[in-house]
Amino acid sequence: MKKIVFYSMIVGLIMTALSITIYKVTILDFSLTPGSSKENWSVEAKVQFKAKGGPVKVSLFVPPVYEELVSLEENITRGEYTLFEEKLKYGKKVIWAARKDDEKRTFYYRLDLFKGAPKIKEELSTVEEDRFMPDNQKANLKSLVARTHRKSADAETFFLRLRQNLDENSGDVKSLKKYYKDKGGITGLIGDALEMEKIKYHFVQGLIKESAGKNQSLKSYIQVESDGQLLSFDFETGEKGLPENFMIWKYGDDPLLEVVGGENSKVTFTLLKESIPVGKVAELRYAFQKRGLAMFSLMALPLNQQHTFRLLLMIPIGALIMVIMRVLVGVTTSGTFMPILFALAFQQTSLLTGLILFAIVIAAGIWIRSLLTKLNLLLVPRIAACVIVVIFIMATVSILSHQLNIVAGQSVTFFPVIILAWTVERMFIHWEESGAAAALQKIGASLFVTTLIYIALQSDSIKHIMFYFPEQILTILAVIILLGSYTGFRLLELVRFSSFKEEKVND
Amino acid sequence: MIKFISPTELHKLGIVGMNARNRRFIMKNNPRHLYPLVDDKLETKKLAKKAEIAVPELYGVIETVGQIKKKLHKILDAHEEFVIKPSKGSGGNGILVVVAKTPNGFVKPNGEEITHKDIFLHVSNILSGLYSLGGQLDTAMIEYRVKFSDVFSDISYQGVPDVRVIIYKGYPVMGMLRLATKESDGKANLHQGAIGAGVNIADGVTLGGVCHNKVMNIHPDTEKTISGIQIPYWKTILEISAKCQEMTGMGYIGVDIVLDKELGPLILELNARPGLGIQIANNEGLRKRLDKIDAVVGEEREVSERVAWSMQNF
Ligand SMILES: Nc1ncnc2c1ncn2[C@@H]1O[C@H](COP(=O)(O)OP(=O)(O)O)[C@@H](O)[C@H]1O
Ligand SMILES: [Mg+2]
Repeated sequence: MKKIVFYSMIVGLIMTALSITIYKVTILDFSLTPGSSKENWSVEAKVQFKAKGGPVKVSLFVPPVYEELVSLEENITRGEYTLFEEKLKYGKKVIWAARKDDEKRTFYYRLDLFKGAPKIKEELSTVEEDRFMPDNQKANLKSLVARTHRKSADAETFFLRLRQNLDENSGDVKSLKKYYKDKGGITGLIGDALEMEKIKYHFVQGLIKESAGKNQSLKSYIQVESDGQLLSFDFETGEKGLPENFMIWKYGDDPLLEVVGGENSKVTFTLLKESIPVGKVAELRYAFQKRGLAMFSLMALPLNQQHTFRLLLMIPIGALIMVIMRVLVGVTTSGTFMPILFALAFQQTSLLTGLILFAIVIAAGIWIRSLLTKLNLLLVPRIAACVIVVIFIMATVSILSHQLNIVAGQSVTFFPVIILAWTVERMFIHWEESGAAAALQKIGASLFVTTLIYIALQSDSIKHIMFYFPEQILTILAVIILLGSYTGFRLLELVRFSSFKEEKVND
Repeated sequence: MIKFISPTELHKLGIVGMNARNRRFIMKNNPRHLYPLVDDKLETKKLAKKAEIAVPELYGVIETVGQIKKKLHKILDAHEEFVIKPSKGSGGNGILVVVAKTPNGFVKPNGEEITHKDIFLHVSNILSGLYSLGGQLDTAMIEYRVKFSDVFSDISYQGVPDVRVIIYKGYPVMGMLRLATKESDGKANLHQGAIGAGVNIADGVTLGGVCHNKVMNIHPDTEKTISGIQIPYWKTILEISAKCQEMTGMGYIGVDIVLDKELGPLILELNARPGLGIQIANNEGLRKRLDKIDAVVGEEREVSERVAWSMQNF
């Protein structure tokens, strides 16, 4: 009788989860697999400068945002500054302002995008009237344009020839370059030359979405109208054509970043490929709202809370793996749920960096902990001391890697401090009691399970299922309960008890 | 090459795995609230005293750091040899055996000399929970050092061998003699590298041994054969073990017994989660024996009858 209750509970859980999922797939048109997630990117611009002590005004060009196109999380840090936005014809400016500041500052602007770049109507700059220019420079420019004109056939060849001429560095070019130094540099010079030739053009700057990574800078292209066609050239190399995954960040030749009242300013970009199709979220939210079901869906939550839930919903997967490893395989780890927490932390740092940082912190922690032994502290003060030691080590790693410009090292701050402290304490005691080999074996087993969970958490399919079909938690619960009642052998026991086999053969 | 044995084969042999042990035997038969009785060696000692079962005499207990200065001296002065251990320890961790005194210190079984200060440090480590389950605060107990009987002097290296008997619902199920080795450092705990030798329940004669899950019939340090040795007081050992099970109220426990030269069998500790290595040592699975006991368990019997039943059947 009890067994029947048990199994009907299991079946009930699974059936509930299954029917909700089937409803979503058949009636609501949910997809079971993550669509192409190629188009989902998040970009972060990092602005750094040192304020000079007086009023500071920092303005950064950012791409335009169209509600219907970009389901975005736009995050802007501001510290003690006031934040303004200024709408421009193509895009907008984010402005940070403060009356008095003399510190080194770092601001972030983060944008989550899908469906590629925000489309901007391509409109070429109209040819402006001649700017004011000293006569001698005007003459220089005229001769350069005339020379280039003679040796070219159309707008395209004119541009390419112009680049060549500029490279040749003849006398007038040298003088022009000097003159343009504080007037937009080479960009300004080329712009003026094209204007003089009555060629329509504009500059675009952007990021190539293929190369996810940190510390990128914008790539500049120039677009030129030639015989009614729009041609793009790499501004550095002169190569023709825009890269396929080019995301336009800004148009025009105004500076990307302007810092008034600060020095040593720079802006770098970080591109992250997001594996959850953010766009899908918006679409599905809409589908739910149409049916009045939005209240029951995670997608009704604001985006930043959804983000939290995305992580939260992955924890059951980690727990399931822990249970499988313990009950079916027989691997014991240091601290039951330590691998889940570290797998989550490694999501932020990436696996290899995470493992290396983990090794560094644990090794340093154990060493300092061994110095603490002599003090003979009681348990709770000892753990508390360990927490402080761990924070100290993390700070040291962070600062050192910042000094040495190792970006990866700075992500050490994502580690869960308390768990780390307990791990140090446990490993240390284990080391004392059973020797280094046993301690290393234990930590190795823990990291092995951590890696498995990490890989599972990285899987786009699992992320997709857990986020869009959170009812599947019930299935996981059912499986965990089922495993909890498993009384069969563990995989490692098949090795442990293998000596029984030998005996039989001998008989 | 790693050797495997198939689960069906293990099942046929009646081997009990960790999952089955935990769910079928421990969780079903050992109520949680009784655990403190066996997890704390002081509680076990009290209980054994009440049931009139012999244990190594308790010389004293140190509960706080303050007592180290005040009380420990007196205890150490009063005894020539003794053992200090954490009352909530396990696996042989934190056990310090002292076999003699010198003018300025103490001697360990391997001849190493230690000072008063070393002992104080050790005791304060015990108090801070260094050796106890989950690092909880602990007390240090100082007790009589067991002198092992001559039968074992050839097959145990610098340490007291202990007899582990598994008792299920009042019946002895399986036994094992655990022998200290150089590696196990004078302690008879299997995962510290001690040898476990299976014991024939019927007559108390040792079968072959295992060390780290591998068959080992010759003691690696003394180079003497392990099998074929008669354990003295065998029937008494089984009876004491069965009584221990009764006094705790648990249904499935491991009883650790040592044999003292003069005092005979003494209870060292009880274990609510006895290990599974005993099956390897006896080259036999536990399950068939447990099933057999389950089949007769309804019949009310005295301790001596149950022991006799086990000696007849296993
Ligand atoms: N009073 C004692 N006299 C001599 N040896 C002892 C004594 N107590 C423990 N030992 C040795 O230490 C080992 C482990 O002791 P035990 O009390 O079972 O603690 P644990 O719970 O750590 O296994 C025993 O097998 C024995 O070899
Ligand atoms: Mg023991």
